[in-house]
Parts: sequence; C-alpha cells; structure tokens
Amino acid sequence: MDGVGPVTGVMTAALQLTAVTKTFTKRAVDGLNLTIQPGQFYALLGPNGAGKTTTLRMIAGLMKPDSGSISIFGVDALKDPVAAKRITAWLPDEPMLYDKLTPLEYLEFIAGLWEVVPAVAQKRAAELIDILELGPHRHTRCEGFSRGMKQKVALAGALVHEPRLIMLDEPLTGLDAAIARQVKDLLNARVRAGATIILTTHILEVAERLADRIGIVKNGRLVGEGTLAELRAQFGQSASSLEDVFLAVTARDAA
Amino acid sequence: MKLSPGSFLWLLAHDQRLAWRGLTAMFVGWSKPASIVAVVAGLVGLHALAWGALSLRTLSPEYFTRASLATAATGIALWMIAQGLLGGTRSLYERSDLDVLFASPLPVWKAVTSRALAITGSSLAAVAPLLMPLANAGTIREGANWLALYPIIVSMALAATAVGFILAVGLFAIVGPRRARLISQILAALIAGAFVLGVQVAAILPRGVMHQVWAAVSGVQGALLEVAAPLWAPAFAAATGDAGALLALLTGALVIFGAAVVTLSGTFARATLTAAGSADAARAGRDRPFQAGVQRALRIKEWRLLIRDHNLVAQIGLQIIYTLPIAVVLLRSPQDIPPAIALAPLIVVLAAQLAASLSWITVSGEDAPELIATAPVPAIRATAAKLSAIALPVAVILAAPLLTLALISPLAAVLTVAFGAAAGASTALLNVWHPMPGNRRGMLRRHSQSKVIAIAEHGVALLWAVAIVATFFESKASLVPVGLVAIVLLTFRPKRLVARHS
Repeated sequence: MDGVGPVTGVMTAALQLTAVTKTFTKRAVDGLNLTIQPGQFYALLGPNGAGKTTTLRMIAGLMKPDSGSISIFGVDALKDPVAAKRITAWLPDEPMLYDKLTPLEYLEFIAGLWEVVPAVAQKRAAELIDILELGPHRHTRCEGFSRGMKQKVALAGALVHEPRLIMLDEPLTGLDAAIARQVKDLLNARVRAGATIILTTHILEVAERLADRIGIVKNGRLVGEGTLAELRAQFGQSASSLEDVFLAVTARDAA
Repeated sequence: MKLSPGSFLWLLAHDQRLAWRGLTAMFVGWSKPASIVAVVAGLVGLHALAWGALSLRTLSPEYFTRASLATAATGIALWMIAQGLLGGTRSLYERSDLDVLFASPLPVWKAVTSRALAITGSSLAAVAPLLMPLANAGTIREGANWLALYPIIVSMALAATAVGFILAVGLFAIVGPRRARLISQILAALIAGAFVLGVQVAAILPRGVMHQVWAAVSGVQGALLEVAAPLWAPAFAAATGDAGALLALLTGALVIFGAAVVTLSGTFARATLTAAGSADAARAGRDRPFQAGVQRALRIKEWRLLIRDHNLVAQIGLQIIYTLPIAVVLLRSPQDIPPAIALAPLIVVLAAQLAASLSWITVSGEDAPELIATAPVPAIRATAAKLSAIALPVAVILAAPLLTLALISPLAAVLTVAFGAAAGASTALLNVWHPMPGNRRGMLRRHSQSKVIAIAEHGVALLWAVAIVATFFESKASLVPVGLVAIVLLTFRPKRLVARHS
C-alpha cells in the first residue's frame, strides 16, 4: 500500500501537473505543466517568489489550485486527496515537530497517522534513527534540539511511512556539512529503492549533484527543464555550471 | 523627536513598541473606529466602577482602614513581583531578540534594563485599568491628592520588577534553568490566582459572612501592618499629598530598580546563555512497542503534549480557580439550597470551560497543523480524534467533585454528567467551528482573539448551568435554556455546514 516497490507494467507518471494555476493577490502559479517519472530525483529551482513552495503545497494537499489537475501515481490528488496523501510525504523548510515529544514518539505518531502496521513502523523507525545517528537522543524531547537535529527528526518522520513521492522544500538549509551529507545519502538511497523525490533548493550545487532532472520556474511558469546537459544545450551554456545556466534562464525570461 | 540609535531611550522605545504591539494585538481585525469606541467604552465603564467603589467607601468605611489598604497594596505588590519573576524567566528562554541585542555593541546593562522596564510596563498595563480610574474618580470627588496614586503605582511596579528579577536570577542559580522556569510559573499562577480569587470573593461574599471574615482577618492585618509599616509608610504619606514622601518613594523605587537590574545584568546575560544550552541531556529510555491507529495516535499525542507542558497545566489550574467564585455566589443565597444543587451547576460550568480551553488547545493551538493536513486522514476524523482526547482530562479533573456529588445524590451526579457532557460538547463545537490559531501557551488570552466567541462560550456554559438547576426543580423551564443553547449553536455553525444541508 505505502511501500516503495519496483515499477512494473505501463509507466504512470509519479507526478503530473496539468495547467495548474493559483492566484493570491497576484498569480503565484501560472498554468504550470510538469511531469516527473517514477524513480527520478527532480530539482525544482527558481528565484524567490517563483512559485516553487506554492506548487509543492498544492501537491501536498495544503491548498487547492484555482484550476488544473494534479495526479500522483495515477491518483487524482484533487478528487481523492486521502489516497494521494497516503503515498506522499512533505518536508517543509521549517520542521513540523512537537517540542514536547521525543524522536521515537514523533515517529510513532507519524506512523499512526499513516496507519503503518506498528511492528513494521517500529523496525523502520529504528533503522532511520540509526542511519541519521539519532540513537542517543531518541528518548530526549525535541525542544532542545539544534535546527539540524530537528530537521533530521522531521526527515525521519517523512520517510517512516515509506512514501512513493517525497517533496522536500529547502531540506538542507541551515544544516552543517556532516548532517547535510547524511541527508543527501539517505535521499539517494531512497531514489535507488524506487522512490521519487522532488526538492526545491537555492543551493545549486546540491541540485547539480543530486538531481536527474531539473526544472526552473519563474513567475509561476516552467521556463526550462531537462538534465543539466540538456539545459546547457538548450540555453547555449555548454561549458558552464548549473549556476550559469540558472542565471541565464532566469535573466533571459526577464528580458 | 528622533532618538539617537543605540542610546538607552532608543532601545527603550524599541521595547515599548514591541510591548505596545503585543497589547494592541487583541484588536487585530477590528477597524480603527471600532477599536477606539471599545477602548472609550471600557474606560467609561471602569471609571463608573471606580466611582461606585468610592461610594461604597463612604457607605462602609469600616472596610477601608489603613490595615485593609496595606493588605490590598501588598496583594498588588505580590502580584507585580510574580509578573517580574515570570517576565524575567520568560526573557531567559524566549530570548530571540535578546540574542540580537547581546550580540550587538550595545552595553549589556542597556539591553537588560530596557527589557526590565518593558516588564514593568506590562505589570502597569495590567493594573492600570483598575487603579487609574480610581485615581481619576478620587481626584474629582475628593481632591488632587488622589493623583499621587499614579507615581505610587509606578514606584510599586519598579520595585516589584526589581524583586522579581532578583528572584528569577536567584532561582536560576540555585535550582537550575529548567526548574527555575517551572517554579516561577507555579508561583506566578498561585499568586495571580489568589489575587483574582481574593478580589472576586471579597466582592461577592454576603454582607454577614463578609463581617465575620473581616473580624477574623483584621487581627492578622493589624499584625501585618506593624511589620510592614516602614514599607508602606512612604506610600501612605505620599497618598495624603506629602510631596517629599512622594519624591522619596519614587527615588527609592528607581534606586532599587536601577541597583538590582544594572548589578544583575551581567549575571542575567550569562544566564540566558546557560538557558540556551540547557537542553535535556540524552536520556536512557525503554523502547516501547508502537501503537496502531489514527485515533489512538492523535489522542496519545494530545495527552503527552498536555501533561508535559507545565505552563499549560498551570493555566488550566488558574481557570479552575477563576470559576470557584461561582460556588460562593450559589452558596451565599439566603435560601437553603441543597449542596447538590449548588455543586452541580458549578461542575457543568467547569466542564464547559475546560472543554472549551482544551478544544482550543488541540485544534487552534496545534503545533504542526500542516503535518496533520498532509496526513491521509480526513479533517473531520482528525478533529473527532482530538475532541475525544479532551474528554479524559476533563473527566479526570472533575472526578473528585463528581464523586462528592454522587455521595450526596447519585441521581444528581448522573444528571450532572449528562449536562456537563452536553455543555462541554457545545463549547468544544464553538471552538472547532471557529478556530483561532494561536500559540497554545496563550490559552488564557485566547478570548482576546474573538470577543463574540468568548461571549457565546460563557453564555452557553451558563445556560447549561441554569438548565440543570431547572431540571432539579423538575421545571419545564429547563427547556428554555436548552433551546437558547440550540439557537446559539445554530447561529454559530459554520456556513459550509449550512450550505451542505441546504
């Protein structure tokens, strides 16, 4: 039900956004079309206010688009949000934690919400705590944790129900190098196991190193998409870094 | 006037601006004219009350002796000390902007003194609505010497903040950061509770009982006054219009405040650093088997968060204390009301108030609402689980009075459980239908978010209390309050519910 299994048969997109639009006081997302295949590590980049977080929040079911459709592994997320949420995880830049709970209690709570079989959840929680080196602190309340520790607990919470689509909004912000490495290794392992990851980041080296495909949004629209090589070819920056490509794409669109 | 950046006055203006914005937060969502009308109406009402209190002084001068005034002043001073203690320990923990100030080139004493003055200001803001109208009404009725109340209260607030600060730093050094916070919260809650309860009980006690109580405590007051005479002598002299005494009082308070705060500023700054690093050490614990189910997960989470938050527990305790005067009102009746009939409506009101507070905590005070929103759980199921979680704490808190009632009258106890459950469900629904997101630690201030819901909540609680009393008298009139509750709930049900059924 919620496990990450091998993809067989006809390939259904892990995530398909069709003409998704959202307007607040101004248009945040403007007819966005986006398709991400299963097992991909997708980086969604864009300048501040481009509509990245709004897009992820709509996919996570935190807000509804004004128009358009969202499909997650073939599940219509707008018509059947509960089924869509069952296979997704959302990790915002500010960890969604309870200060008075310990990491182990937090993971038990998340597993309960996603209705994971307790014995299975306990085994997964133990593995995640081990991988993220939270073991000595698993019975300590989160209230005194550093930002990095809190982010690790939140990440463990996002993964304990083994979602098929994982959305991460700036997951490495404020983490030290060692913790950032742990997080990146864990995410890579999830992709190898068949999960699909979509992440937003302003650290372009992270996107360059981790992502299979990169999408660049500006003013709520996808203005560039592909592998790094494809983006370079597309925007004539053949010998440049992702940073150069990003700046060229966002500047060109503005011109 | 443009203040020089980095100067003490500039910093003071910064802290006072933050304090002012906190104070005016209760009018968020109100138009400016509506806010002004509300403030003016409140001031007029408070002045009318003060006028009435001064009239009472003429009618019953026996209650307004030097000893009773000293007792009242001591109560206010204790309350202010508690606010200073609480403000000091809060500053140690909720210190994000203090970190910025301590990291700046400003001298530490400036930042600490400015913060201490902000605490003094909040103490003053809390007592000013009661005491300042008294000074104004007294000035009009009896003369300008009543204006001395202004500097007297300011002096008291300065001295009390200084004592509270000393206590906060002392507690921190003696018992450590975690216990210091817990002790200060309990002390502040007890003093505030006793203060409010004392004021209410004094106001509502029957005249005969009041005489008896007065006779019993006046001896103690006299003894207290003898001990405290040197402390209050300047205040009494100032109150009679002695300008020299007034100046001495204000100067003395400023010296105490300045000496305490400036001397302790370094210790205070070091204490904030210690508090920052006072996280729990890694604990050894037993890995218990995980439990299954959404409902169970949500309930256990709510119980854990509730029982582990001492501040919240203290606030709930205060809420119970604040409700107790209702029992006094019922028991003061000249008729012989059976104890069951006096106790049952109190339990019903408590059930309603507790259910309202706890439902606000679980729904509006949810720490991670987006986590719950992204879980594969329909919102209605999550809310139902949260509401089921509050039933247990309400039952535990009311178990003792219910058991007492059951010993007096089992039937009354059964009826009280039924009416209490209905009352709790009604006020909980109001809070679920009209969530007002906020920090759960601000539970007692939640009514400042919506006065309309506050009035509806109190009204519903009282209507259920009236209903149970009418039921005890086997009166068909009990249907009237129940009908009124139904009207209130129908009025306040959310529009989407109305739309769904239309």
